[in-house]
Amino acid sequence: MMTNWTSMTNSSIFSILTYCYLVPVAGALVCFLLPRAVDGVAKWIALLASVGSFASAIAAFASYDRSLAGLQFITRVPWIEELGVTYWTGADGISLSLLLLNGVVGAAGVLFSWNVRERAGFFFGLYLLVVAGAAGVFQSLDLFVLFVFYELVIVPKYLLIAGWGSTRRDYGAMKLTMYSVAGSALVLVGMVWLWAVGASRGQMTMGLPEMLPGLWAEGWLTKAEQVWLFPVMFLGFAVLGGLWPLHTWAPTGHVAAPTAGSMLLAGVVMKLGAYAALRVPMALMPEGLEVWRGVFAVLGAVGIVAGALAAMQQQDLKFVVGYSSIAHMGFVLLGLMTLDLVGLSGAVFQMVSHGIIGGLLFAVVGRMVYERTHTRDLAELEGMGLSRRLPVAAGVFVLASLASMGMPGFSGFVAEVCVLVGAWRTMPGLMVVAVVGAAMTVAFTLGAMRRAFFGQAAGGGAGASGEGGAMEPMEPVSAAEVVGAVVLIAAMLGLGVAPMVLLEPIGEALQGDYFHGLIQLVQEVMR
Amino acid sequence: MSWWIAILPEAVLVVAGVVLLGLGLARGILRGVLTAVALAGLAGALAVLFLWPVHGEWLRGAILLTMAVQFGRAVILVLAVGFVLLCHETLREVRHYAELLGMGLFAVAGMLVLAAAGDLLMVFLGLELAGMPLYAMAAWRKVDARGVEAGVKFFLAGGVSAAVMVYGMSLVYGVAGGMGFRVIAGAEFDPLLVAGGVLVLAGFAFKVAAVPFHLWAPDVYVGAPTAVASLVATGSKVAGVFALAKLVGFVFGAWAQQWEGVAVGIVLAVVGAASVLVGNLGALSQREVKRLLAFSAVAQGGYLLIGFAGGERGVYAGLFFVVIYAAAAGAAFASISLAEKDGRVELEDLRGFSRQQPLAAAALLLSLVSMAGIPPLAGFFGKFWLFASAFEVEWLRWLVAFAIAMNAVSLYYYLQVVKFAYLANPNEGASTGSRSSAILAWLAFSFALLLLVFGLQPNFLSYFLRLE
Repeated sequence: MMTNWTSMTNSSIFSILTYCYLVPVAGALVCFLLPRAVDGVAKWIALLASVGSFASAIAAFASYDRSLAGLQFITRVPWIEELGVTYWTGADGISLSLLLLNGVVGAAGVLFSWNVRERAGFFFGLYLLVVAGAAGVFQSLDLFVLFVFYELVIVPKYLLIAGWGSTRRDYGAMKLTMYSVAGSALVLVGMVWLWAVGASRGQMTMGLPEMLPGLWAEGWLTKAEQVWLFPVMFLGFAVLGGLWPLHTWAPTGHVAAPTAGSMLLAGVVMKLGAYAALRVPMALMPEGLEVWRGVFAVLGAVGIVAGALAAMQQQDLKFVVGYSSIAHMGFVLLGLMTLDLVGLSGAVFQMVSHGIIGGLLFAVVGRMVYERTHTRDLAELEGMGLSRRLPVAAGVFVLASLASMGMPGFSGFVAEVCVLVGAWRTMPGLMVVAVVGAAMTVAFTLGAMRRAFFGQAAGGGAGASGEGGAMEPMEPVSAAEVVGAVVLIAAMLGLGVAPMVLLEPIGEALQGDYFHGLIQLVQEVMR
Repeated sequence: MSWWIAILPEAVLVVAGVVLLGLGLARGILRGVLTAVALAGLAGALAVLFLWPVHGEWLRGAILLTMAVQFGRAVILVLAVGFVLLCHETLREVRHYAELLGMGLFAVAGMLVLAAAGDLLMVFLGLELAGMPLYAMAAWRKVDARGVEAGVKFFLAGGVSAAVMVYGMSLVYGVAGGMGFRVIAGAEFDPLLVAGGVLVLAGFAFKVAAVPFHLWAPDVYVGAPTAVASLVATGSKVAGVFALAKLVGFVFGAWAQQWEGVAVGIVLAVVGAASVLVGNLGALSQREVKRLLAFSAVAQGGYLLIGFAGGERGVYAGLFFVVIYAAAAGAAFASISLAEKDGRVELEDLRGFSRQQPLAAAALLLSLVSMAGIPPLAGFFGKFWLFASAFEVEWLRWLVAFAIAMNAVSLYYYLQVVKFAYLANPNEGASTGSRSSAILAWLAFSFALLLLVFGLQPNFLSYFLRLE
């Protein structure tokens, strides 16, 4: 049964979703145009705009009609006649979950950049453009529109890292950008291919729901062609999702980025890749997916273990967090490839969960610790006794680490259990690998936590307290940081306690018309 | 309307050019007056285009104007306004200012002829009328070895390609018995005709700086005054592409059903792919921005030719693409002329550019990002349209994939420029930005703004290119 998409079309170009990116774009313009003398206002504008985007996402989530399910808030207006491209947006449970994630991380990121002074207007303008681009991707229903938003992020994030970053920022920024555009190039090949296939049949369209029937029922692509095209597009998106072994941009990029930059990168930008991989190639080309799922599932599982192994070796606390992101994104990819409803839902939930946890971890390491200690070297941090000198940071880091390790009560637990259940049903061998990876995550997270915050100086030895007196006091944790941390911790705990708030809409979205082909494949796999 | 209305814009330009040459003889004439005369000439030509936007064929098809072509001619004139403003603002000490402007107007007249051409003879006339003044203008800084090198290289490359082209024309004429595009399109099949057609492409390859006629571009861009380089990069290219579009649309399109069309398509595609490769790899290591833009122009010409190989839809896409490219190049040249030192713009010279010249820096950022094909700027739509059209032709698919891959590489060198302009701090004690000019900053910014406007709403531009 196919939905009649046009009958649900909103006549106006604006829906509540539009404000999720329009508000940040407007904020960015204001920030860019601010005279240098009043640069200090920029952070307030950024806060206002990012909270506005978050509020729109909340409002959309609240007014989403669960009884109807499926894609809602649909807006469709003609855009580029020559290519049959329409501006087409809408949201289902998956989109809404990620829009909420983008909103919360975006707003918290501003709070953790409250101390950015150098060219603040430019900084926050770029920051808001990244938020806007991500918000656009999560609501696009036209592949062309999706790609426009997807690419909107590239130049701002390069400038953010190269301009305000730390360790090897030029290298990290360019490496990250080159990996992104290499992925985009693959995606672009796929887009051009899909467009040409439709055009040669007299149906010029880039609308995802419109291409679905062509691809499922009318045989636009033969199975052989799907087997070719699927990995091209999937890889293109998965590069940004941190797929092993194409993940190396992520740790270097995250470490080089300024705090808010790494929060957005790990929290939201990596999810753009994973989300788009689900929304585009997996939904459009189930036949190709069927052939390749084993390969990508193995890569996902290897990513979990390899990320954890790499994190164990790191001396730089930010690199530990960076590689832990790879391990967590491995769960997302594995979950997507399980082709089990629980596993798929778990993958999407893990996107949200890791977005919050990863964002929080980078906030603690980059803002709370590094900007006060000016080192992230675990050996040096060990002697500083941070648990006493920065108790708030230590507390937040402990909470985030517990969530990252998958402790029950936190969102990470729910997400990883879902993925593991899915994997156990369809690929038990890989589940074992993933469990090993999860255990290693516990190991390196505990190790890093102990060394960074509970080193000898904190042990209460007489020598340590003597040294402690000699150390200059650290700038106390500011109110902005506390608020940002509280918001993220609340989200993390809230989702851990009541995961169904998101899991149910996500599951309903997966069973909606849009993922019809994917679900057919899921049912075959289950059989 | 009779034929002379169709070429009235050219006539206006030539008259203005002659007036300028005459004024150049007068001693102590103000530069402002000369600039005003040149602008008046361009404005007059634009006014003629708007008052009598004629379309049709005249002189047995020698002049072939559609509304889209008339739009293209208006674009050339607007770009030429940018050239005149650049001359006025940047060439304060140059001798023979009047002659430079006068020859510039002659060259623009040649570009209009080229865009209007409906047969090969007019193509040749247009190419030479545009080319001759440009050779001289490229060597305007005649005491500077680089200026002379630019002129000589430009002239030699132009001369060789013209010779090849004329030889091709003679073959075509011998077989088809005529020079008009329609005559050639209707001629009976003959291998010689295809050979002639391919040789004719040489002239166009020179115009768009495609491999193997690209070697002049880096030296001309650097050696010529920046204003002249901008005219070469923008108006001249638009004119060449509009003429090529007609040739491909009328002649090669008619051949498309037979192997002749495929053969020409393969030549276009191979030349395009080679240009994409050479241009992008060449640009990677450049430290001088104008040289970098020259190699990037080679690459952009390559994308365009690959699209043209894709047939009719590709031709439309190519027109869109070249107008956008010209706007981006116009913005980039106007912008970097503000950072120029001694005729050169090293990456290092751009340090602190965004703080001293925020408007011009924004224009540079937008234009380079557009050239890199990043949405929502218009360069992305042009490229997507080109690639999508070409992808419909089965044998072109691998080349399209190759072009997309190379395009990803291009962001590397564009970002280097952006990095220096926006992030690098000015060196201590270094003399900052050579000149400041509100006119140029706004000129650059308005061109760049078009990239954003056409990016958000491509129909505003493609509407004109659809006109019959």
